[in-house]
Amino acid sequence: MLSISDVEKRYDATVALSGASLSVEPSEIHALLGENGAGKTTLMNVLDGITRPDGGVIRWRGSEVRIDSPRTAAALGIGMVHQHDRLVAALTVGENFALAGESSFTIPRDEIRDQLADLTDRYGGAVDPDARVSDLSVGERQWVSLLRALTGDVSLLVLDEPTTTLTPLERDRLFGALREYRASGLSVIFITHKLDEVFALCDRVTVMRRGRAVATLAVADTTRSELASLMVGQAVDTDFDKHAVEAGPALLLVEGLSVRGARQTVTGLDLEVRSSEIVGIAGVDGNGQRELVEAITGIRTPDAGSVSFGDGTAGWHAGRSASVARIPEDRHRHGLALGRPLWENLHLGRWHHRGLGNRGLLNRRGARDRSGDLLRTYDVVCSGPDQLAGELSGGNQQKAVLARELGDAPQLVIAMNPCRGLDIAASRFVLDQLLEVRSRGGGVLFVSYDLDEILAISDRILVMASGEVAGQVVPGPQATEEIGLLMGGAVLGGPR
Amino acid sequence: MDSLIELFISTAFVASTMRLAVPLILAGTGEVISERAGILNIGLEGMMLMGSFTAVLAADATGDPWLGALAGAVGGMAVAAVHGGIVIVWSGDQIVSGLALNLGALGLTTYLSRRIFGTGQSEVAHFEPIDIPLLSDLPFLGPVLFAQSPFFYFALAAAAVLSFVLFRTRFGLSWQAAGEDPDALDSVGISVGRTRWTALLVCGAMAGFGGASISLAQLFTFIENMTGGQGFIALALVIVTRWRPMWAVGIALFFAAADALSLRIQALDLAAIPFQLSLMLPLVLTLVVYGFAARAGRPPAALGRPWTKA
Repeated sequence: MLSISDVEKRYDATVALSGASLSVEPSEIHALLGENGAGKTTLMNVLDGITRPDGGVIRWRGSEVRIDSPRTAAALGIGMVHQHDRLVAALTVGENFALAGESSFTIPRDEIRDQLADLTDRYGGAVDPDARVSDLSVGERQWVSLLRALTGDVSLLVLDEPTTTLTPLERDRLFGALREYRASGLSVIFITHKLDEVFALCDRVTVMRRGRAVATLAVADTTRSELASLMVGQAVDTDFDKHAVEAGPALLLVEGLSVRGARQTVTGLDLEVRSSEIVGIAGVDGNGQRELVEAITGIRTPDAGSVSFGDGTAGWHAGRSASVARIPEDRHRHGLALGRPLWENLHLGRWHHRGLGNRGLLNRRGARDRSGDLLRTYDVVCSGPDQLAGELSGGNQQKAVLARELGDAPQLVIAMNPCRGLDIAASRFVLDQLLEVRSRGGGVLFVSYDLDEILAISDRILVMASGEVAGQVVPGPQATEEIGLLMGGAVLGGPR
Repeated sequence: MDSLIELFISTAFVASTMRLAVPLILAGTGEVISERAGILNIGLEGMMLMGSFTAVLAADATGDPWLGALAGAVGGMAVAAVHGGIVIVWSGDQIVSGLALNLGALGLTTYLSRRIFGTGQSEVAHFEPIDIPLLSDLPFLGPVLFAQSPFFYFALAAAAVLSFVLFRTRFGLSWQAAGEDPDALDSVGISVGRTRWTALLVCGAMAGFGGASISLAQLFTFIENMTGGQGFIALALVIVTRWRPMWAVGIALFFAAADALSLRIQALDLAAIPFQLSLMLPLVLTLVVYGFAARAGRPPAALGRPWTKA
């Protein structure tokens, strides 16, 4: 019903798509698999009329079409659910439906209420049209986006990495709805970089790499390792070199920590990270992980409880000198000064080390030389220490953050979502570096929303839900299920 | 003390408060719409001043105050269009553009008025208060509510209409979306640029009417810098309304009362209070109210941010 052939898109010097092709049959769930930056989202934005391609042909039900606006796409029957939902948070659910709806002067409130009721009857989930979107949880927003995309006569639904922020339960509900949808003769394009989801849900899979569709296969006829190597263009080793190490004395001690946050309040939390240990913190986004990390790293002041480091010092600013590193969640806002050169970024907050600035003057040459070494060691692709941090790709920016934070061989590392937005190879590099800290006797507190990452390298996993530690899980065959229950159960019982 | 209370309930004082509120209501509701759509319009003062001038120009040339009022709106929209070109088309800085437009409008109107009208200038065709039959004969309420200039009734109607459009129509929703989350608006296929343009031009027209209401219904002529900071008061007023058009009416009345009081104090010619001090009253009050109200509301999330299609 849909065939896209040889679509090209160029942004100045970078090529986003070069000969991307895809064809979708009626009644199928078609996976679009690829790493970050492979061009999956760009291709779908072309299909939705958001991005104008430089070349290529789109055929819909046999005839060539030009899609120049999301309205055109909607009129053809293509519905889109973006990775980051495109709902206006300040408006209500119903108003968001009206915004995307057919043109009428006033807001057809009753009509929208009926539409929503029909959709929830069919696909499940209770949605209040008068609820303000900003009051909804991430999972609920995702569901509203899905229902909005299904409004009207939609015969092809496109979902861009829809499971990133869902609990396992919400994920199952979504998969159920998509199977239901397929059963009624309609099709889905399911964008993902997770192999598990391809096998759990999809009929066929198109793999993209570097802006090109490299293969389309029936899911039943392929294997994980075949898909993985198509994705990265080479065979990848999915096992980590994690040999058993005996955990030593405590490096980080959090006792009875309570801290108020914008979205969640952490109450009475205890945790400990010992040397030669990686402690994973799992949980759905917004269950207090950010508040915990901000309290430990001195961004947020705790209401009660204490944070102390291995040598007995309390509080982050004392901890800094005791060789504690921090890999922030958002490298653009808290990790790097994008408009400054790399050599400055690599020494932010570190001028008191190594005689670089301890007499009140900066030793620029020393810092530049050291930067060159660090950039080589951490394999940062750049033109040199004078390049601006903002000019690097996401993966290389993250490597630069690692170079700064890990370059001093810290005892303790606090890492939050360090692989966010990175491709397989870059993620692998980051996780290997954290394992390296562990094997030389350091401790790591590893907070991530990606369960696979946590399971891959953690020695033990604490699951956070509603601002508390819901339980501890040790990696093993049952771990995923146990974590899912702790995450989901607590979320269901928590405030909505 | 008694005389002060008498002042506040005197017909003349309340009626003049109503009259002085008109330009603030007009410009304030316009600015609410513009800011709702994400465009900060520091140039409001300049748009008002241009409206005052073009209104007098047209009223003088045609002898028809209605055409004058219309020309006032066009003058305000012309300044708004320059702002739109800078901030929507070229993604320029909204504050810099607004400041420049205020200075530009002041210079241009001053130059042109001297050039066209010379220094001594007489009254042009203008609006007299409209006495609504019967109602205007009511005690107190009559002169206060039913014997005002057409601008007064227009301002109230415009605030109500714009409030309805903003909250009850799809058009208004797209204004709100353009100011809160332009990417979301774009993703449903509505042009962010076009949406912001309409809001900005509505604002320009309203500010132009506001300026015209000063020149055609208060002073009957054009005087250099005759808006005298009312655009800035309207700008502050928007924050106090928390971006709701109907609130602009109430808040504008409050500021206008301060203005009327300041005029009264000057008229009383008290030796204890220099007239410069009483002139400051409305502006000082603006600052104080602004200081209290600024933290209460949350401005539209994308206010002041240029948006370009990826």
